[in-house]
Order: sequence, then structure tokens, then C-alpha cells
Amino acid sequence: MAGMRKKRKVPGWTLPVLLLAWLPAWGQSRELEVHGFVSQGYLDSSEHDFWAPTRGGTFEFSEIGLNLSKKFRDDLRVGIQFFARDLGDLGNHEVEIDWALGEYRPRDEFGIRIGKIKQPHGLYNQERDVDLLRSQIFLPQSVYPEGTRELVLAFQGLSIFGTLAGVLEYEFYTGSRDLDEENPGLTTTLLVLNQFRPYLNPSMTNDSLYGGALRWETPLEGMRLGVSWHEQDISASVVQLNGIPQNFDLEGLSQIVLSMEYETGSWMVNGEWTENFVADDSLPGEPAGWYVGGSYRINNRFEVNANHNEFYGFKDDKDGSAFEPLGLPGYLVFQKDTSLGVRVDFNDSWLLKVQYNQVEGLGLISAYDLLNRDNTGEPDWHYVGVKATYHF
Amino acid sequence: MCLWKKLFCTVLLSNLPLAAQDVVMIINPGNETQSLTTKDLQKIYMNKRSRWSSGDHIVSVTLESGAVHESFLRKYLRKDKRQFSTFWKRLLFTGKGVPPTSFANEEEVVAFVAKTPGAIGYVSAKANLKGVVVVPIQNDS
Repeated sequence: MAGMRKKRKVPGWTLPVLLLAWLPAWGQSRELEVHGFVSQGYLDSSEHDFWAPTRGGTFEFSEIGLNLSKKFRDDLRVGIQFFARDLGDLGNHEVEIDWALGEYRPRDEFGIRIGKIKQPHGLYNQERDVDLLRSQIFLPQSVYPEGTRELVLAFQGLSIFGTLAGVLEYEFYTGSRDLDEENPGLTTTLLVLNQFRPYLNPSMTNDSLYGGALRWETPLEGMRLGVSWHEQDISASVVQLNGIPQNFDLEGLSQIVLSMEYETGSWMVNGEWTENFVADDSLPGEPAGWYVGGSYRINNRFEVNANHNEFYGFKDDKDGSAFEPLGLPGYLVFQKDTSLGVRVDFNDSWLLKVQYNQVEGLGLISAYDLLNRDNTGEPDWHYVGVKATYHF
Repeated sequence: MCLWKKLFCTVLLSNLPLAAQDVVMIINPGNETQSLTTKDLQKIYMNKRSRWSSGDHIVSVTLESGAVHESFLRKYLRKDKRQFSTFWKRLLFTGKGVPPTSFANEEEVVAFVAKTPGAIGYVSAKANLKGVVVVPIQNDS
């Protein structure tokens, strides 16, 4: 389709070639930092699939990342991270550049990054693919949904950032991102936009993005508060089965996240609230979500965690009753999810997690569920995950 | 030993505190800093301060592991080993920072700090401190 921009997939041979090309040059001055991680998981669910054929149990759940960083001067640094993942039809182990940037930071209060940058969105979006950095297997889906991950993950552009008075971190950014309308997550987003009607020839582009984030380490030691906000323009189009084209120009699509995290001793509690704002009145509504959760470290090896999160596809219609005249049950537009989990760190490199989620509603997987499997009509379901990670 | 006894012993032993170690902060002799506070150390080692008051860049280094390393983390940063490691891996894997250089033993820390302008590190009070200056740590006012 004319004007359509495809997401640039990186061929599998890119990684070794780039390594061979870069390593000699980078080894000339300061040390090259090389780190990485590999995760392999197993998912099982009842009633509905969770982004993979989980109802029968699946090992299609893995991540691998390789990270190269180098300081050329005290204020000048470059880095790149290659990343591949598999979650059912998401990722399929295609190697992508997760982020690649140059950073110039002449002062603690001011720095600039240029390149492909992970978007500061909530407290955990930038690290959502790095399993070792959190207690749970999945971040709360109400604020970090797998389906629309690509709409907030990263962007090509620049950001300015810094730390004021040693306690207030800021980052403001602008750029754009490539979107792949064949990504199953975005496919389901298009299906929601098209009111669950089948379509042909999908297209989705992002031409404008800007936003900012503030994180404040409060005088109460261990407590940090955050706010992040972005606005982007997304153009999407499909062709209806009767041949009539349909455009969705989502201009001024914005989202805000308010965040809190408090860590004291072995305890950590956190909570976030997010709301989307859509300028286009023709859309059926604006999503919102929140969660509260926490973790407790029993000792250096064992940690337990719990979380409750709720997502509403239409924040003014929390039970989805307005959707029922379309012949669709209300539970397709909300999702309430309670999880319990345990993390075991065997040593500095190996860890294992187990997590159980009890869910009511299909608000975050409804389109995927309708597209891929027969719908059982059961709003209550659960999924269980086991995941092992090695990192260095 | 049955599985439950093994699990109980593992949990119990993991909770026993390591013996406290006397830690001293050392800086390069060319650095005119007279003293630091705990908050200064937290900012230096948690990526929030990168320059000395003279304007020179701070080059912080750590020990890779051990009782002195863990004692430093607990006493001055209020972190344990995993929290500190996770903090830096969070920055590393999101493209926001590179961890301090770490050394396997105290001799290497002293040697690096002695030859590197702007360097700061920590070792046990019993270590050979030739070529470096011990900087006193004051309580936060």
C-alpha cells in the first residue's frame, strides 16, 4: 500500500556480522561492556489463550537479549541491545534492535540521547522485556498490556534528560516509531477499532510522538513517585469485506501514567494508574487501568509477590453494558486480574519464577481470543507461568 | 535429609547476617575532597552524581563480591547485593547507564584508585592503602 511503512526486521545474520565489525573498533580504548539474558518459560491456561496456544500448555514463551555498551569519554557513551522474543505469534524469535543510542551527558542535570530509545512510560515500560529486573513473570496487564506493547515500547528520535538536585529525574522526548500492522497485538487493536468486524489490507503508521516523564525520589527513603505522559498520532486503515475502505485517524492519542513505588527493607509495594485520551469522538471510548501490588523478600533466594489489576476498555462503561446492543457480552471490554507468584534466585546468574493469575473478563485478549480460538463464553479463567532466566 | 529439612535449612542459613566489616572509602591523592556524606555516596554510586565539586569526573569502582562489598552496600547505600546489582542492570539493559568498573580484590581497587584521577573506591580498613587517601564519611546533616 502506498505510503505504508513496514517495521524494519533485522535478519538473523545481522547480530554476528555487527559483532565482528564492532568489537575490534570498540576494544581500542575503554572496556566494552557485554551483557545478556536468556529466558525460557512455560504457560498454561484455562478457557482462553493468553497470546499463545496456552490452553494446551506451551513453551512458546522465551526472550533473549544481548547488550553492548561502551564509554568513549566520561560524558559520551554508545550502546545497542539486540532482542528476540517469542510469545505465541508475537515475536517469533526475529532479532530486532531493541534500542541503539548515543548519549552525551555534560552535566548531571542535562544530557541528550539520540537513536532508538526505550520510551519512559510508567515505572517499568523500558524494562518490560527483561525478566530478571522484576519479581513477577508478567507486568500488570492493565498498565503494560502485551497486545499494545508496540504502541509504547520505543521510538526513533531524541530525548533530553537529567537529574535535578539529585532527586528529580526528568526525560522529554520526540520522534516516531515503526509499526507492523501484521503484529498480532496490533492486528487485534485494529479489530477493536473495526468493532470486531473482519477486515482486509490493514495499515498502521505512527508519524508523530512526543512526551515526558518525571520521577521523584521523595524525602521518605525508598519512596518514588512518577508521572509520564505522551501523545502520538496514529493512522490506521482497513478494507471492509464489502470492499469499502475505512480509515481510523487517531490524532492526539495520549496516555498518562501516575506511579508509586515504595521499597523498605524486604518489602516493596507499588501501584500505577493510567488513562488514555482519544481526541476522535467517533471511537467507542477511552481505556483506563490500574494496579496495586508488592513483593516480600524472604531471604536472598526467595521472594513472593502479589498483584491485583483492573483494565477497562471504556472507562465510562466499566461493565461493558453499552457494548451489549452490538451483540457482544460486556466481559469482552474489561479484565480484572489477581496474581500470586514466587521468585527463586539460585545464584547471581540463574533464577526461576512461578506465577498464577486468576482473571475475570477478556478485555485485554478479547480480539485475540475471537480471532484464534472458539470463544467459550466463559468470563472467568486463569493462567499459570513458569519461567527460568540466565543473565550475565 | 528430607526435602523439607533441606528447604528449612536453606531459608534459615540464607537469613544469617554476614559479619560486619570495617569499610573505608579511598580516593585518588590528587583529589582535594576533605570529606563525604552518606548521601554523597548514594548519589555517586547510584548514578545521580558524576562530578566532584572541583568539576572533575567521578570514576567510581566497586568490589565484585565478598563481605566488604556487602558491608559497604548495607552501611552506605542501604542496599543489599541483589538490589544494587538490579539497580545497575536496570540502567544497563534499558540503555540508561553502565555500571561502575568492579574488581576481584582489594589490591586491584587500591591500585586503580591510586593511578586514576577522580577515582573513588572502598576496601577494608586492614587493606594496604599505599598510594590512596582515606576520605572520612560524615553523617548526613
